[in-house]
Amino acid sequence: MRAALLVLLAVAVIAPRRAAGQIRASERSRLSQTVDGTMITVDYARPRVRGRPVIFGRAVAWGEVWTPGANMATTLQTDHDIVLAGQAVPKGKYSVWMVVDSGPRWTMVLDTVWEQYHEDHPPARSGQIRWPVTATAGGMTEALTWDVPAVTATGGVLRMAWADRTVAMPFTVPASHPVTTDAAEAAPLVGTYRVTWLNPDGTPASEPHDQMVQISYDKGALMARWTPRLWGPDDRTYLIRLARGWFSPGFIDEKGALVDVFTEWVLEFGHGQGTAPAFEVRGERDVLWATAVRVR
Amino acid sequence: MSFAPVTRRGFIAGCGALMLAWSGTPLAAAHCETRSSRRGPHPVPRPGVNASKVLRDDQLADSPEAVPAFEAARRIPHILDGIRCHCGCADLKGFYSLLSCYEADGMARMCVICQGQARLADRLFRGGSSLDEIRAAIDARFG
Repeated sequence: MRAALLVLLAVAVIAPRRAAGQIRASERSRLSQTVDGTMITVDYARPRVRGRPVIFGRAVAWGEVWTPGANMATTLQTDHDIVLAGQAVPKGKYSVWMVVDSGPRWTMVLDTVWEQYHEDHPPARSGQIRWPVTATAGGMTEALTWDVPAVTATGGVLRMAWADRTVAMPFTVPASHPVTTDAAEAAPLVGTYRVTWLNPDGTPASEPHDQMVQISYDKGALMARWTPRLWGPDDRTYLIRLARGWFSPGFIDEKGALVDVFTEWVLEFGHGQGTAPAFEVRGERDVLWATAVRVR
Repeated sequence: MSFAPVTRRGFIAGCGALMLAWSGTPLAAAHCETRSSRRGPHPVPRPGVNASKVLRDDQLADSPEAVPAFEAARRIPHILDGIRCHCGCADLKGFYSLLSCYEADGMARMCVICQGQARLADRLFRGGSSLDEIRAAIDARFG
């Protein structure tokens, strides 16, 4: 009987409770955002205000080197070089700190020693990037939140908000598909072409038909005007260079900004001398979707 | 009769007959994985490699749209064996080259990227391109 009780006691002590469950005052969270092939990840804990009347200036002292999170320091990882709030940030993983101030001028700190406790408050040292960022006052965010409220083809906005302070940092990523094309390569392609869409057996499709595309070159970029248009708000697309003579449509928004590169299609121009007489449109399986011949 | 699609979906709908005729449109077809970020060195073709392990047409009954790509793989196994697949399967155990996608379980049965790479390689090879030129083209198109 005594032995059985000892066994039960041992089981009660050493047996795992719920493998995944544990209440934390500051629960872990992770933000991951990909823009044009660059992935930015913020791993952090989320402290809550929990009724405290003042966070910044009391719970977080002015001048403190504070990690915008809790427990283990918040980390930021990027798999390509980026520009964050005007500061070049090489690809890598960093612990994230902010030197808080009663005014709007805070200091962002990225430290290459990324595995640190929130009370480590790293001093300025080599391997750190420090630069000014702007904090705005107002509103109320109960649980500290990192998010990306805006995404564009070239970047977005990385934002931290807690209590009555918000730091929003615009960022840009390296372009995987620059819109520019060398003038010498572009010149032979400029002109107007008639597009014939094809059935799988190579015969002309009944529709769409009578589509014209006018290719122009302006400010270093090739632009195609499709009549009728393909899709999207504009009848123009960039021609985004993949290789010599190979381009994919780059769709633009109402303001003319690139929003989507449709690499599922490739326009293939020949490599001959002089003006290009024609091009083909090939799909992802390399099937021939359309042919186009120059008319002007 | 003209068409004036205003959305990608609208364009596809506007081309309904054409798109349906293409079994498995690029937009609806299965992707092995999103492209990019899967760059790596191209493999060296193995001496004497051949197409003996490439799936036969009768093994592709459920994937008729893949047949032309498998035909390409049978024509140029020595070329496909020198190409790294950009769909992500290059990281799988037992994978050696794009040719591997056409053998055994044959991911190329379902993957438009595997299929596109083989068909592009075949087209360029027939046009006289070298292996290095084909690699560069595949990197540009699918990498």
